[in-house]
Amino acid sequence: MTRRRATLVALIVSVVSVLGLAGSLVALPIYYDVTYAAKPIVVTPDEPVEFGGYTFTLTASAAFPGEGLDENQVPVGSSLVAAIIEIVPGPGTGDDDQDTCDAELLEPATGRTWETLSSEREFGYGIADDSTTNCLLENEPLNLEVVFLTPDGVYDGAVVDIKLTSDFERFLRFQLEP
Amino acid sequence: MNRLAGWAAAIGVLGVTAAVVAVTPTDMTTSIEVRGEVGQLIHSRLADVTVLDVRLTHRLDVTYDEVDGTTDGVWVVVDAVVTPNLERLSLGDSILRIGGTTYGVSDILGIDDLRNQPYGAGITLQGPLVFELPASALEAPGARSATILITPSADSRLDSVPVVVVDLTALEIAPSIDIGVAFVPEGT
Repeated sequence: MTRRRATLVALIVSVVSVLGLAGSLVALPIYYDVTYAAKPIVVTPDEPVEFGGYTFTLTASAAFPGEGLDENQVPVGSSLVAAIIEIVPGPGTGDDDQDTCDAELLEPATGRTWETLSSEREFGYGIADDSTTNCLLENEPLNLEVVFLTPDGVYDGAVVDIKLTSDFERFLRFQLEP
Repeated sequence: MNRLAGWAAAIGVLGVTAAVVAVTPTDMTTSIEVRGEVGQLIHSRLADVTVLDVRLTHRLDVTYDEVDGTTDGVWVVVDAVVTPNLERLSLGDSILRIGGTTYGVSDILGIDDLRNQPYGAGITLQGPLVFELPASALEAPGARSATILITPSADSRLDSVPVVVVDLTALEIAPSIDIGVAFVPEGT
C-alpha cells in the first residue's frame, strides 16, 4: 500500500468513526423517544372513546378568570381551568378490575404543563355534587372533575392529558370546549 | 525527513491534547449558576426567582403548624418569589454554601413552604426557604460570601440555577421570625 493510499484509508476511517459517534449520540435518543414515548389519542369534546376497558367522554370544560382574593378567591392574572370527564366501565369490566389515572393540563404550543389542584376549595371552587377529583376506576361510572390553576389565556388551545397507570404506550388527550 | 516530520506532528498532537485535558474542568456536568443580588429578578431555564430578603434567627415561629422551631445554631430564612417557566417544580435540592461546606434546605416547614411548587408554569409562589446552620458557620471565612442556590430540579446538571451571594456576617440575628405558608401573590 502506498503512503498516499494509507493516508486516504486513515482519513476515511476517521471520518466514518466521527460520523458514527455523532450519529449514535444524536440519532439513538431521537429513535428511542419516537419509538417508546407514549402516544396520545386525541379526543374532541362530547366524543366518547374506549380506552383501557372504560369509555371516556369530556362532557364539560370552562375557564374561570381570577377576580381577586376578595372576590372569587382566584388571584388576578390567573384562572381556574376545569373539565369534567365521564368515565363508564365497559361490559367486560368486572368487580375486581381496578385502575387509576393522572391528569395534566398541557399547552401544546409552549409545552407548559399544570398539575391538578389538590385543594380547589382554597381557590373558591366547588366541584359538582356527582363529581370526584379522585381518579380511581372501578366497576362503577364516575365523573372525574379536574381543576388547574393557570395564568390567564391558557384555556384556548390547551388539552387535558389522562394517563392510565396500566398503560405506558398510549394516553388520552382531551381537547377542551371552545 | 518526511518520517521525522510525521513523528513531530504526532508528538505535537499529543502535546496539544494533554494541554486541553489539563485545562479542562474535571466536573463537566456541573450546573450553570446565574448570579444575582437580593431584590433582583434572576432568570433560569426552569424558574424565574427573586430573593426578597435573607434573615437570621434562633427561632422560627411557624404560624400554621405546631413546629418546634428552635435551634442551637441559627436559621437562615430566605424569602423568595418563584415562577416556574415550564412545569411544576420542587426546590427541595436548594442549598446554601459557605466556603466548601454545603447545607441542604430544611424540611421543618412541611409541604407548605416554598420547596413545594404545586401548580405549574407561570403561577408565582411567594414564601420562605429555611436553612439550619451551626452557630460556628457564621464565623467561617466563607460566611461573608455565602452562596444560596435556588435549585429548581433534582437534576440540575448542565442546567441554569439561580444563585444569590449574601454576607451572612452583616446580618443581625433576630430572636424569632414568624413563618407563614407560601402563597400565590395577587396580580402576578
